[in-house]
Amino acid sequence: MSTAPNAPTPAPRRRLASLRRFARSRSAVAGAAGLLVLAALALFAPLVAPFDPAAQDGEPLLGPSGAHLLGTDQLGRDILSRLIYGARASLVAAAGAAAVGAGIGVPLGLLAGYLGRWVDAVAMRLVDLLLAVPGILLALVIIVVLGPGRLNLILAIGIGAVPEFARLTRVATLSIRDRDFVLAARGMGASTPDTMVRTVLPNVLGPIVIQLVVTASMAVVVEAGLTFLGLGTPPPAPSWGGMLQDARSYLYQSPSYGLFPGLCLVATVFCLDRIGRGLQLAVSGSGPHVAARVTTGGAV
Amino acid sequence: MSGGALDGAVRDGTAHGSAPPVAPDRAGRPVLSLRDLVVEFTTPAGVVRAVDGMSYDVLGGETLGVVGETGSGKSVSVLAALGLLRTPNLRRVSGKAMLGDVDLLALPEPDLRRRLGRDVAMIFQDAISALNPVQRVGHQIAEALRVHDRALSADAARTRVVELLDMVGVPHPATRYDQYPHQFSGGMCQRVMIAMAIANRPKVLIADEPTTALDVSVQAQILDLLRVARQETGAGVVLITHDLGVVAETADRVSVTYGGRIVEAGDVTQIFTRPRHPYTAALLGALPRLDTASDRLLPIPGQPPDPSDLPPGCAFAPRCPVSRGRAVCTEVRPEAVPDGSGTAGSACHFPDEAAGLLTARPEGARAEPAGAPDGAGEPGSAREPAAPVLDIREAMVRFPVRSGVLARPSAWVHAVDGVSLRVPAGRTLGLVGESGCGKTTLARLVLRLVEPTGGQILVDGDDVGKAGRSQLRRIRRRAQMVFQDPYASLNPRLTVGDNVAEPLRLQGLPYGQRRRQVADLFTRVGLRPEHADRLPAEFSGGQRQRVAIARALASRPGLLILDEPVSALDVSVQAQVLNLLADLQRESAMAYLFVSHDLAVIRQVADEVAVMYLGRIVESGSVRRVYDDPRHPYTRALLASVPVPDPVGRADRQRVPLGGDVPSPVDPPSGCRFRTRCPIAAAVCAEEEPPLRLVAGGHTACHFAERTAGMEPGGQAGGQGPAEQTAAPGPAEPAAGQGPEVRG
Repeated sequence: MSTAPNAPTPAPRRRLASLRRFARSRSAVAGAAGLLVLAALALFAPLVAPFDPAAQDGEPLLGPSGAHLLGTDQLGRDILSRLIYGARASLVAAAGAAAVGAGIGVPLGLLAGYLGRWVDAVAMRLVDLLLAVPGILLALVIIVVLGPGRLNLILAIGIGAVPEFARLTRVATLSIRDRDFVLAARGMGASTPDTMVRTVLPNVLGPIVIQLVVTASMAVVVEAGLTFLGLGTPPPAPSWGGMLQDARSYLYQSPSYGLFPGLCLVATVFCLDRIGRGLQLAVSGSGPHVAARVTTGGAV
Repeated sequence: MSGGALDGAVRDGTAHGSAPPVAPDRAGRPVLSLRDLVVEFTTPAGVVRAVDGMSYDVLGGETLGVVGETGSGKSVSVLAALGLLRTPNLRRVSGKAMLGDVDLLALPEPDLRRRLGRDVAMIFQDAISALNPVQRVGHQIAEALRVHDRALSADAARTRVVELLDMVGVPHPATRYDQYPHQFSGGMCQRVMIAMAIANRPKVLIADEPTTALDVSVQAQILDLLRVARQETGAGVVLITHDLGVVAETADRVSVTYGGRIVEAGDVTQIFTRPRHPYTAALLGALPRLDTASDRLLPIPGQPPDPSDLPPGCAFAPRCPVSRGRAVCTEVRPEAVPDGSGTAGSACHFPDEAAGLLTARPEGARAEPAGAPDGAGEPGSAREPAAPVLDIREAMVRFPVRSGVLARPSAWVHAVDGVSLRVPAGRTLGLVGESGCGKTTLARLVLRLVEPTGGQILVDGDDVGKAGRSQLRRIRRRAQMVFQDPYASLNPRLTVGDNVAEPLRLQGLPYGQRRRQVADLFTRVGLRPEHADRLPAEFSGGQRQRVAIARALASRPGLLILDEPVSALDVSVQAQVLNLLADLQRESAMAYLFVSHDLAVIRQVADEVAVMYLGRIVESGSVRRVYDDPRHPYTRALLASVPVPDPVGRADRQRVPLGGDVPSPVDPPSGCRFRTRCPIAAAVCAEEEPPLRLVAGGHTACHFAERTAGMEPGGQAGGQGPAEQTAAPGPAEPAAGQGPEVRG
């Protein structure tokens, strides 16, 4: 060639650009910071918490005071310490459920969307089946069948999240399945699995990442709800849902007892929601006035 | 409103196309003047000045062609002048847009609205999406009338609309009135848009790329219609287009835009024969021609300017063949200097050197195309007797049309219906046809990106249709595809280097080796290897197409399938890519199957041509045979429809466009598929499908192929007697042998 084309105008790397867009939303950054603090607290609970969460070393149902910053529960345990340890249950449930949901839902949606035909029909009827039962009921049934326990709880919530992931992935896959670059990959001799994983998947990741955060936020609430019903995290271990349940009996004696786990739940869900919103901006690559919202399910 | 004769007559519901031509009071005076129009946008990259002091006048009754490449500001200027730009990042619109004595930019919103549609009307590129899909077509036009004339009764409006629909050539206007846009074809939608635009007899008619989305045969119809509309209303027409052919065919005066400015303005003949700006001259040199194929196009080096980063001097200086680095070009921005007559002018420091560029163009046709049909003894055709790289035999593709609850196929789309082609090594077969003729399906068939319903596709002798998984993968390495839209064909999540390396990765090459080969490939296609780590989004269209070509070359294929590889590119960049493809073919003797709707591009690149209509090849042969001695009425009509970028003698050119639209491939006409639009169709055409047979050194599928030679294109056949059945009509006859050799 006699004519070398001009250099393309140097632009920032794409990932950095996405990060910048995320950072442009202050509330998203605040949410991310809040979640990081919470995660750090949960991780380093033994170092941070002032008391052993199981130790009954105070008067029962004390209000906030210098010794016990947030007071004590009906057995004289420190509420602040129990809240800090309880964050573990919530966050593990959130991460686990999101992972299970995505782990099953994304491949299902990818297969259904890319292969189509009978695979699509079978996968989507499966999803319909899951959707036909309300999420909390589905989780209840699964726990009743599998028995209570932390792992089963995660499975129960995660399976409830499968349909959202599957449908989201399927729609995104359908929209790019016939794009020229997918066709080009096939034309180069790429096998079907290779095309799906290398070419299609990276291009549908955006909405999936958002859905992960949405699912996590939903899982926090469902975990607390199930524990509240006595089906979640088993009793001696501290968890926000369990604390709420305990506090319900003492609402008159110690109203602040129930307030704090509730606030923790709200704050966590709020942080996750803000992060999801920020991710949406980062993925869509446009200003806040055009970005459409993924529905946040039952999270808010 | 001045209320011409048409107005009064139609409102009475009596007249029928009896309107007088040009309203005399409008002719010759500027109806719309833009003065120093500046449009700026705020973007993350800073302030972008999309229009940078544009000025032009449109006189009543004339057509002003505003021609320029993508991003030159030709559309934005008009939209801004009419207050139609509503993007939130619009920063500033300044200057004047005088409609008669009124400055549109200074008008308050309600006053402006009253004038839009009444005094100024627009015709958009995409007519189908410009119409409201849930409203009856007639009502939409009636609404345009009644918005500006509240006194108009519903009945009178209906009468007027039917009249308008009839005028713009919509058949059965009274019935069509009550139909919805989806029942109209693209060409018909554009007719409706034109009817709507001229409904209020505007003073100015603005047509923004009115035919870009249409096929050539329909384009010719619409351009004729625009001419009629101008005569009927006496309006000044602003025709915005990137197509120099369209301008040469229809405009009286031309303004050439570049980098947000008018770089040259003048009479159409002067612009095309004695350009006074090097950009105009260079554009003409970069344009593939239908009449004479030059050996090599003269591309404009580099890329169109980035409006966010315009050079301080002349915007064209970095690509200019005249500038040669002269300081005045890079430092001082040239202002448009009107010449003696006052209407023409060139924004160049050295306007007299520009015209010289045109004559520097290699004269005349190529001595003899490297692939003459009787190629014996030519150096380029040494491989000719060898087996063809691509051999398509009676290929057939049908798509089911599913309907009903059970999704059973209720009908079949005959996308490709018994096509035979062969492409030898080092040669280019151009496949040309209108949209929906099946040419893209045929291209994809070669790599089995669609499943064949019948026939054989042999790549290097291997049957693509019967290949197993691993064999298919091997075939797909030897045959590679370049897609139309370089914005869609690259994986946006991979860097361009990784995109190019994908075929190598699939072959299992280790990373280091891949990097080295990618660097080589980048150099071969004229890209800088150090850009391999960037994402496709950072490149312009032409550069992306180079990346796509590099990717196609990675597996060292013997066959390239080029599916409209340049139709998404600007003329100046298109020439670069066409030349690159020619160079690559010369280096490596690849065979090309070049699919395009653009007859001029095909003439430029191809050795052999096949013309496709409704899933069948209707004519094939060497470029010379098909272009200089077309025997099929469809080929003749297509060639006659293409606007020639040469205004000289356009009045004498016979342009009888094909009527109607391409019939549905679900239910193709019996016998000859072209007969429904054919000017010489006879009874035999409906009964018997003409086989593709040897006529005058090429192959033509027409009963009257021997008689069409001397006819006026589109004229009536002298004698419409029964066809002589010279060739054996059996379907077993191989349809299109490319090259003279007898099929074994």
